[in-house]
Amino acid sequence: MRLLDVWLTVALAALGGCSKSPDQVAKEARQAAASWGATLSAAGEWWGAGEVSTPYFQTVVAQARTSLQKQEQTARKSAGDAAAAPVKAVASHAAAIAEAVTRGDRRAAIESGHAAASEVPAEKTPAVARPE
Amino acid sequence: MKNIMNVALGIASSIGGFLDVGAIATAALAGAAFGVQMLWVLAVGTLCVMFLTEMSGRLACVSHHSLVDAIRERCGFRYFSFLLIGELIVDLLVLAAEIGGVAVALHLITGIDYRWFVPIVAFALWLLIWLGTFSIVQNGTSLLGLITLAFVVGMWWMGPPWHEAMKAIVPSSPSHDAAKYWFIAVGIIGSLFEPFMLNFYSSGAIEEKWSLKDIRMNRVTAVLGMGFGAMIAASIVMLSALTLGPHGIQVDSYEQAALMMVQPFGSWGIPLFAACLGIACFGASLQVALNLSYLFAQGFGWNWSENLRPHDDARFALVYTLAIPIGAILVIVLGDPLKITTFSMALNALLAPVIVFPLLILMNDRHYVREYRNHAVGNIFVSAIVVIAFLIAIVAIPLEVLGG
Repeated sequence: MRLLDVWLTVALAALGGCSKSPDQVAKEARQAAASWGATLSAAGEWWGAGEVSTPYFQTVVAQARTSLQKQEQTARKSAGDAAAAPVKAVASHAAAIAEAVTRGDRRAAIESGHAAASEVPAEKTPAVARPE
Repeated sequence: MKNIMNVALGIASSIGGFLDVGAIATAALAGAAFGVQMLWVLAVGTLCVMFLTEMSGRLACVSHHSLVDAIRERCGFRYFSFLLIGELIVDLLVLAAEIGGVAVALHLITGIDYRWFVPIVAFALWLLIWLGTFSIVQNGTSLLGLITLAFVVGMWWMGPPWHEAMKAIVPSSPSHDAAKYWFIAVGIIGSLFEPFMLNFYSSGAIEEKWSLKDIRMNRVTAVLGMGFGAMIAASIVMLSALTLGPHGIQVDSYEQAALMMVQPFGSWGIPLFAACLGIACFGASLQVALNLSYLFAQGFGWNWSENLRPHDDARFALVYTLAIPIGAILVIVLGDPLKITTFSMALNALLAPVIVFPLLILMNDRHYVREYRNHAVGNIFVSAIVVIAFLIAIVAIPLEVLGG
């Protein structure tokens, strides 16, 4: 019983400290936008070079659009339009890529991918992340 | 020669047991977000799971009891009921994650929504268990699972940072995103300490009629099998660190994780990733579904063996026949297989003490293991890691769930 009490106390304390500040929401939205921008850029390049198939690239773009849409809604609700803006910008490039894939226009897809990545530059993790 | 073949098959099986959707997902997450820094978690967890696997095999060799059977007998029905409920919840979630992993693999190749594949995968899974024997289920999928060595080849191709990887074996704290770091750490530990694996391993030893003469083979299998499995998981961490992190790609979906294979393998990269994910998850889902049957049958004293025909152990067959569709429904209802995976892996860490501490009691009980009892080092090391993982899990899970 005592162990259960300790567990509940720790869990409730953790839950209590979990409400996200608007700054945190904005930061997460930015990180998601940056990661999906980088993904679209790299995947677009590889699709252009014929290294990934069209069905696969379409799934990446579709997944990016779904994730960004969710992230944009969350950011707007919790932290306002300014926080949602970078996500919206990357999402619009993702929509352009989807259209380019439908047309089979590889050059346009690559350019939109680069534009998505430059919208919110990603924090690149070196293979060897330095510990504190 | 026969012994060598047995050990080789055992190692292949252990790789199959070790490398599943959880190991692939958590390793990919870790590498993309933190480079090779989290290799120490994998090293510590692997050492611990080597001890645990060897113990559950030794228990079966000496006492001819599977782990759940012995826990039920030694700790009583009330404790067993607690274990049964916990493992039922976690195993169903893990089963959902594994079925989801196979469906996602097919989705990556075809572009068709993964949910369409879920019922097909579930039916194929059920049919193989219904018609197959233990050796077909275990050895067939495990040998196919050797395709996951592609991760090792890819890592070699990319030129791994050996020096830094060796330094990363020493535990370190993160320079950023501490909550994410510790949640992934718990996920990695959870993917190694999967409770289903311990009971499945000991039940397999009973199915294959291991005895005292197999103790040495059990030790070699546990150490080499888990060691090889860890090598593949470490390769995924390094491959992800070398290919995704430098582009700024984080792993929020399997579509992103698959990109790690494009640089080393070009146009073969995505199909290879899908094959690795699909086969590893299919093998693991067979084990989880069978383990649920073992759990109920051994706990309630029913007939059980994958080598019996279903009408000879009808209740055993009924459990997996119900569990597989429930897992399939869960993956469709809950959505996002990657999130189901990371969450269920963290729950594994939470459940680990419930099965590990009775195992330690059994492994020190002369009545069960006679003179083959544990050494103090194994007891202390395993207890410490399990308690630490449990403590991190009870803080990290609520943080991750509500804190994103």
